[in-house]
Amino acid sequence: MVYDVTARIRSLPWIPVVLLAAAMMTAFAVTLSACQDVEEESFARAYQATHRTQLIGGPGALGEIGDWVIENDEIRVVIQDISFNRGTGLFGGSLIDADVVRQDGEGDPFGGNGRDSFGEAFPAFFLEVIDPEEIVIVDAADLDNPDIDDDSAVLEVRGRGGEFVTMLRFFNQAMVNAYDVDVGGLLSDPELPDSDGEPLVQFTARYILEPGASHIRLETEMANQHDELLEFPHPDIVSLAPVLGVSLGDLVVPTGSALGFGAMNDLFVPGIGYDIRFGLEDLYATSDLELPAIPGQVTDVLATSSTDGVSYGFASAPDPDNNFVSTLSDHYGDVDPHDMLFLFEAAGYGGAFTHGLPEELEPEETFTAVNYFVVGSGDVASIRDEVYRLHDQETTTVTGRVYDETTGEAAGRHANIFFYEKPGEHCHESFGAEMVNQTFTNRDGYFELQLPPGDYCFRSRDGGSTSGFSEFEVDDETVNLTVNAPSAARVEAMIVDQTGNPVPAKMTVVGEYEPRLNPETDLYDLEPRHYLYDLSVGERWRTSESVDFDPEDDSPRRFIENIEFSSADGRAAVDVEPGDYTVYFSRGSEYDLVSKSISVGPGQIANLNAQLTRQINPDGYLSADYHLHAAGSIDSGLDYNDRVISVAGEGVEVAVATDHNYISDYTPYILRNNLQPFLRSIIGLELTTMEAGHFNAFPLRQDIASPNRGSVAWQNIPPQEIFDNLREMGSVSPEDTIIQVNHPRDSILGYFNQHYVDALTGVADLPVNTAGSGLVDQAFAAALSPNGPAFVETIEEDGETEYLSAFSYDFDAIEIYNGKRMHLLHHFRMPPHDELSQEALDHFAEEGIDELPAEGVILCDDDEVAFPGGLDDWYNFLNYRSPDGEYRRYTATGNSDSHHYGSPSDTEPGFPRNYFYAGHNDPHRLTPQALSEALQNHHNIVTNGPFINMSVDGQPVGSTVSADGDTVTLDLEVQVADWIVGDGSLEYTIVANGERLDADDVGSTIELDDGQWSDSITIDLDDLPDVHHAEGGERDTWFVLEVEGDNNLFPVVQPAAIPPVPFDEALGAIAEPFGFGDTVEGLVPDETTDVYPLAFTNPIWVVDGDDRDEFEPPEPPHRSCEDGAAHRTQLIHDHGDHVHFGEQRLDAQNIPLGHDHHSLIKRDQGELRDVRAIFDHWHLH
Amino acid sequence: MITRLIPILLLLLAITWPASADAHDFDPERQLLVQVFSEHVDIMIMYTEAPGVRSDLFSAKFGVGAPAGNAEAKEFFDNLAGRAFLPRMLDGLEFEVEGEAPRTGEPELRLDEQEGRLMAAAFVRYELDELDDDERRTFIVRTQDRSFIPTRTVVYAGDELQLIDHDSGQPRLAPDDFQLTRNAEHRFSFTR
Repeated sequence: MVYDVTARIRSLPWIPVVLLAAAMMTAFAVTLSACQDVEEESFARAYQATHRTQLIGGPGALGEIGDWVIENDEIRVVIQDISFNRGTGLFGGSLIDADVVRQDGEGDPFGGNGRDSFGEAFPAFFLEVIDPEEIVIVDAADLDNPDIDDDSAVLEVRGRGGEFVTMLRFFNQAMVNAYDVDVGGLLSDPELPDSDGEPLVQFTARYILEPGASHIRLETEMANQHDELLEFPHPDIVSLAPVLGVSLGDLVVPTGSALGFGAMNDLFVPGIGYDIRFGLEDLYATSDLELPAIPGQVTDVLATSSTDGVSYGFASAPDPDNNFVSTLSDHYGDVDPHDMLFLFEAAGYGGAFTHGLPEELEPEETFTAVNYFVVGSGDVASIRDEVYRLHDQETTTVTGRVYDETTGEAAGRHANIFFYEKPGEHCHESFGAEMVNQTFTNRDGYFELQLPPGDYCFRSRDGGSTSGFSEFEVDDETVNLTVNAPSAARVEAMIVDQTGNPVPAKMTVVGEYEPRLNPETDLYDLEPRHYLYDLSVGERWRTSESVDFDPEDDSPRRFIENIEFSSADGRAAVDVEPGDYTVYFSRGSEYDLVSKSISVGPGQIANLNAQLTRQINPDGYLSADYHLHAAGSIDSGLDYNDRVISVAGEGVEVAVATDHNYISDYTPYILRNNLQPFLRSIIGLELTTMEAGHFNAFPLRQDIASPNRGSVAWQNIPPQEIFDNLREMGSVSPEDTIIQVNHPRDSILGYFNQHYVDALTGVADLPVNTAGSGLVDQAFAAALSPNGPAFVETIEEDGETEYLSAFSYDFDAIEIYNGKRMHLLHHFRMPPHDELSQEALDHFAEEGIDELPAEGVILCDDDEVAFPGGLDDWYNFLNYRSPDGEYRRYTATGNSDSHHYGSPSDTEPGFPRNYFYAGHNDPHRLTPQALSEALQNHHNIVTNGPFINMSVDGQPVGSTVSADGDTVTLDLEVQVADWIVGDGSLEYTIVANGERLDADDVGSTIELDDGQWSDSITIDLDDLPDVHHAEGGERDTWFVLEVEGDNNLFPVVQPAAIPPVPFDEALGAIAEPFGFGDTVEGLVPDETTDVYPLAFTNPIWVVDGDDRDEFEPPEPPHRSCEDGAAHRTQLIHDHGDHVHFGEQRLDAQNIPLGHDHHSLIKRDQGELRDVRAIFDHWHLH
Repeated sequence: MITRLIPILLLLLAITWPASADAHDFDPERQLLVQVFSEHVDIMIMYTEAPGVRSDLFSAKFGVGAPAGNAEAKEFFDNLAGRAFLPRMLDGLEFEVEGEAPRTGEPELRLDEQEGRLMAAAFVRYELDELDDDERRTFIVRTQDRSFIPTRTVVYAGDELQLIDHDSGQPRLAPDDFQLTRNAEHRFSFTR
């Protein structure tokens, strides 16, 4: 436990310096003696907050008046009242704020004086959560539980079952019997669930805080309030499971907790340390567990660490009869009855299963699970100390001090010490040393924690590299350690522009490493995370310059050691490991790239000066990023100051603040950092639903008094109503509020995916309407698709029920290009045959497909495009009217969706970015209305580097023009900084009505002259191939300019080296043993990629008619997914031997890709005359 | 000890089948395949309903013959529909393994429709104790007088067993066009 002495001293500024020193020395003595000498009166209480001073406050605080506070002399937590969830969850009643008691902490003007950085936590019964109906304070004495102090504060959240994800409603409710599920009805007459029916189970979450405790005792309870026996899972769902492609085996229905620790906290899991991403992934990959076991990390505690002075943890109470992993010890091995299964972490949320439901509950019988939520003082050790006490584990005090190994000086605050259980003779990871704890030093380099007796090793880090292992032993006497941490080196720089003025910019420190041979493959394909850096101890990922290295090439490879930004003062400084580096200075895509070589030893500082020259400045256009996150988002945690500095450092001129369900305003931070000459911000929001899409809205008003600054509810609200509500929040007017659909094809987070927008027609319809006529298909559609008012409009008429999709077309923009997610741009197409993996080739053979689909053909799975992309979706909308007959012109945008800066798993702000027409070049002059007008008029260009433009007779991108006779002349322009092109080249493509025009006809070469290029191309609309238009229809054509390059943008833009973990893949980890989750390697889009220049414009619409000025959508023939060979229309233009892919308009071929690959029931294949074999072959088609 | 085996399949009904008062209007067809192994007995019954109202109603109700989402889904639905159809398939039949107590698992069922005729197949495996070298295993099929359906039957050995004449104990060939008779008991013996 580390005392924050500084905070205490700061609150008493009138103490003279001499007394100050004495006070500090006394405080340290108190610290090292562990326990308090003065008895403080302990208490515990729960109440409903009636004024803001009762709230906790802090960078992650969401508590509001009306919420429930539980506190004692050590910690404070807030439980949200019954209302729409203010975070990213669904319901009230969840734990939303938590902190240690701070007597003298800095006050939060919005309530409380704490430093809450917690996201959210709530109990989960399988995937069912509590939809609260009442919250009450209970007298602890009435619980009549000898394990609970009668002076405890007790708060109960009581309610019925609620859905985390509606598409699993049917399945989930049947697993936990939350409601009376009519399985037979589903089979005989599939209907979409429009209500939850009669609740069979009462759920209760009981939060108990004892006086003096640093933990909340979480009791989660299920009570059978039905008059019949309830079985778990419902026996009918066991029978139904095969229909859903699921094999349940001897399933034990697990329960546990959803834990949103938040991105401001680093999650630590014993055994895998901080490397959650790959620690779990490696587990999933190597797990051979079968149901009822589920893959995950078995652990006794989850804990976070943070240099902000608060940490959070989760543990389970011993329960030999119901502990999930303990009752399945045959599968999990040597486990304790308080262990739990940590399943996943994605988008700021993690999940842990702690208990298994009993097989049945009698009427009025209750099942109770007990867990603990712990609040610590900033490190993992403070959590561990409390958990050891809860688990009655004997421990010994371990204390010590950290020194810099070069200078011998004591370390300061927040040096890291990591502790491992020594596995045998040696302390080395290769011998199986398992990390079990972590602690920070206080401001004088001291640390203290508790460890059970045993043999241990430790490592340390204080800004530099992480040390090697040192051994020690813990018995029953206090251990005192002397720790030497490797020294860091430092790079400091002053960055100015061509006028000599300081500028915000980016400094990237790049090193080189020798690739290592992989002993398993004998190739140089061993991932550097295994030897260049150690994620388990929280070292940062060092991105290599490419994800496509030749595995036979042992040449040195470059990597990014660290990144830092300068603010308006031009100063940047960053710690690095001692070594030789090349330091790059950049300022986004309009400035040049400058580099300097350095060599720094331990404790040394390299001082550099750099001058950046602006190479392009598109006249009348401002660069903008419409999708940015910071501390207001549970999965970001980035300080707002760092956010605006990084945006300015990347040369972005307009930043739209779009936190998840939280309205942020960057303006105060821009002013605070003197960035106003460089950067203008717009207030916005990313309204984030769980499974119905993400929507940006801007410009908005911010409600400073609201805990989430005015964000609104989204739960169970149909899209049109969401759009209407967002427009009402507009700061200019509802009509001037831009609604942008974000990443529309991003798994369960994509609006188009979740509403089943057909990827070849652009029409949204419900699975129950498009499913086959068979009962099986109908049952699938009814049971497994998203449902509820957010997705379905139910119409009852004359005894007939009709289901309509609630999809709304009433938005303004589509974020086509999101971050580095290149795989979400286009519908996935057949790769080159020579690049196919053996697994892919085997898959075709197994499916009986003798002739491989042609390269470039869109791949379908059954009757749907296998992996749709937003760009192709946008082309559909541009080509066809919506089902209501209206022709909608959506503006294409491209945004970073940046949650951090310089993080290899995230995107740099401004890559990609937009150039919108403002009429001037001064971001300071921009008004929100001007931005809105530019987007509504489609004057927007998307790029991650080159500035490109297109016009017709001076009319800009976004215009509607008339052809000159049957021809149109496109005036093209490119401006680009030299580092973006490098030694490579740029090429352009003209897209007409979704089809790429042949380069032989319209050209493709861009010959730059000092970074500039322009050309004019005349196109005869009548000569366009017939795939561009409806047969016999008008020849109106929209044109888009695309530019691509072949130069890797490293180091300014890091490759996408770490594929993101989408939420549905995280859920897929749970679904894997049920038979879901299989994909065919080589036939799925690759989510890792180097980043190359890419830009595209919004359209210019050309009317081919003398007597018309209204553009007629061209409505070219649709493609469809069909069996066998690619289905072409009759309109393919003959190019002889070579048929450019662009001429094959959306050729699509149905290749069963096994998306919903189900475990086939294994059968023994005997001789053909065996009765078994005869039955197997009976009437097979 | 003689253990009568009441087809356990009857206990798995999910949906009752309408009274078969009009069954005599049809000419159903039934085949019985039995394969006897040293550690289990496999039984397969194939049944074909004549075209008409009964076939049509059943097929429509359970979507027989309609495309299924996947193999497992079809299997499940066939099981569900088959359970309703089983009483008719098994009507008048009893099975016994003399002196033994077979253990059975879930039956497997399939349905199909061809040219207006509803067709069904049921498969069940009964687990048995391993047959010793000097032991004999006798499989008995009994037919009842009521609701008799002519049934073409094939009973033969699996793995290393061989069919023997029940009286003489001598090896014999399995008859391939054996018809069960009404209200009769038919015995088939096997040994190593």
